[in-house]
Amino acid sequence: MNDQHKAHASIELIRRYARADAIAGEVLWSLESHLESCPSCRARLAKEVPGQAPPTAALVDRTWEALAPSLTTGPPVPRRGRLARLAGWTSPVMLPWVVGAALVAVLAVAVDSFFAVPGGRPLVLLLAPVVPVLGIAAVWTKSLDPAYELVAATPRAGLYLLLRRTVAVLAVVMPVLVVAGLTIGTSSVVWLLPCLACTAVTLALGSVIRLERAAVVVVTLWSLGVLAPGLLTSQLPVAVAPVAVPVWGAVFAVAAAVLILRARSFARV
Amino acid sequence: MARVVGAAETAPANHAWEIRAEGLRVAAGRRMAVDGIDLAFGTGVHGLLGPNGAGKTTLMRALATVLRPAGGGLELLGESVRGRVDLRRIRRQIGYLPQDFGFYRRFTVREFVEYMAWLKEVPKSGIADAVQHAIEKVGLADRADDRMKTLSGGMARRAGIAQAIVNGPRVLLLDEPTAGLDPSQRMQFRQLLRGLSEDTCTVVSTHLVEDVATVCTDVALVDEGRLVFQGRAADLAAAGSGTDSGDSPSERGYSALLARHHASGEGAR
Amino acid sequence: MPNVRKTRGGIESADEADLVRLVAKGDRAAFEELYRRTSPWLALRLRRRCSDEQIVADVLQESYLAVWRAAGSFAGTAVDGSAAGWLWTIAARRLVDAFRRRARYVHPPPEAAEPVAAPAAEDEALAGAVSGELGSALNTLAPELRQVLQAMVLDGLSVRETSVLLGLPEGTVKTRARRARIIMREALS
Repeated sequence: MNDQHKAHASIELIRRYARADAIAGEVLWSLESHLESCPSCRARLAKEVPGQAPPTAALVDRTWEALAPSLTTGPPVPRRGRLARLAGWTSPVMLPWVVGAALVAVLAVAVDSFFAVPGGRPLVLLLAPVVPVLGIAAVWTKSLDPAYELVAATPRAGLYLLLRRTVAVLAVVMPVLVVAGLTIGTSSVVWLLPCLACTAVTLALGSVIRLERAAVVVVTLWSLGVLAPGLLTSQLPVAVAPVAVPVWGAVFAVAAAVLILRARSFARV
Repeated sequence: MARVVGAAETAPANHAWEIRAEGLRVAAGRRMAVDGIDLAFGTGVHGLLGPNGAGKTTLMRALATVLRPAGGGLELLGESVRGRVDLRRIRRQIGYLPQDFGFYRRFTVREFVEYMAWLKEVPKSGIADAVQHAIEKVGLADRADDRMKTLSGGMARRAGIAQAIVNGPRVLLLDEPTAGLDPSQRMQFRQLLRGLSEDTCTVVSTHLVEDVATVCTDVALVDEGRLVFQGRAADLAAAGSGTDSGDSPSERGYSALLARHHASGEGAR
Repeated sequence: MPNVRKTRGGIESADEADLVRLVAKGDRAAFEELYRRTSPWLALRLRRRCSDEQIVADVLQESYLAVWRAAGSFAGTAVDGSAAGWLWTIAARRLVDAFRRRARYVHPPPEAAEPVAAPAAEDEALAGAVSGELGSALNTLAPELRQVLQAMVLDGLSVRETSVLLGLPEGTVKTRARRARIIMREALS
């Protein structure tokens, strides 16, 4: 198509094309591919049609007459909702859950700043690692998603879609958590790795049991093992202490490996 | 529009049947809802007939690759879908309308079908046309930009058919597609099926005998998870006699075959 | 086409991609202009592939109606390429579909059946100038091979659509496409 202006079709050839005369195959090929890319030759062709091919000219006019009544209503205004635009990353039913998860983080900050107990554990720190899990629960859940069965049969279903949606959850929740962490002055590293590890463990567990159950398991374990002791005692739970960071890194790596090995289990219901 | 024709595209096909099942067993919960079915479907419209609870929906879900078969063999387009296989390539060629299909109510018809086209990996540049074309085929062109929640039950089902055909599937699975359609819509649906049947393997599951009698090239009758009969629609009618219950020859054939199957089942026990 | 020339200033000089963008905003005059410029070409190209005038008229109508109705979503993706090529794709898909509906495509497309006249010298010049080596390579192809290649490469159809358009089994389309590829590769090397 780069050479469209090198040569134009001769008027005789254009007339023969309009008359539907036989044209040698390779010439016809060249002519048709040229016409597709050359507006001026198309215009010359259009000019020749009434003279050379009256039936085609009549057909074109007739078709316009038939089209005209349908045009009075006007084309539907393109109303591409934001909802549909986001659909590649989140399913519409996820939104309330993601917003909910973000709200939990905001609430935790509020509690920390208004009811801060001197020497107490910042609630944000205790909650941050499981906040995204609340959103993940809604990523691929039969009971929440009306189109679950439809989506489940498509090629994009499975780990690919799951990870896309997980990224969407993290993209919403993480900034909130980072801001929350800054307001109470804790280092992000302390909760960031546990956060990623909990997310990965939820997904990996979700390949064995259903994802929403996996989320419940992870949140429950966290509540019993970290949240409750953190609230009840004056000790900072070791899980969110800097010493635990390498452990969380290892947990994340193992969960990610399991997830990759079991990737195909998400492709079916 | 010149494009490159790849070698993979012109590689010879190596399958005689679009759908082939051998001793297929599929579990629904704890029950073996499909219990040893042999089937071979090529292009054309195939009616999957049977009373409610016969295992039709479970079979359809297995054909749609949503459920993993518990035993036996299942090949779609010449590829086995039994074990831990990559389903993406096969799923691109499947269209599936589940029996009770859900959708996102705030999407417009166009957004819904566009979303499904994206999930089915329809090339991005072709989505707009494929969506418009599918919506036209089911007769929803003038409702394309209305929200799904404003559609009647029959219209929503047509939108469901539009999403099923948007990727130009080679295997089209419609589970009870005529449920909720009025008689004129049913006629329209049959018309639509005839237009598709030429180069598509369409399986229509239904409990309505008259649905299959008029459009289907052949019929498979399923009862209690087993295949009772497979043959032409005319053979179904021939199986009945005046003494069997039913308002049409096909219905009488249907009840005769079911009664015979029940009798042999009792005898075996 | 009455009233078609009564278009606003500016539209006459807009290119086709701009017209599609205007149509997406509901501009009826732009749609008329797009129709005026492209429909004769599209009708002729369809007629070369389908001898049934009624089918051509139906396909033409369906295609432009689709452009009008779905212009909003078309404008985003389609206009990047050539607007005419994009129009052709829409029409070709609908032509194949019309053949599917009729399910009686026993007609051999015109140029495969008719004896092919030797190209005049000036036509050779176009063939040579426009597609260079491709033109002479095409020359060496048997008509039935060229026909398959044309449907797939020039018209942008899939194997399956080609089989419907030409009324051939898919296996035959594939075999011919493979043979054509081999011959073309030899001719071009």
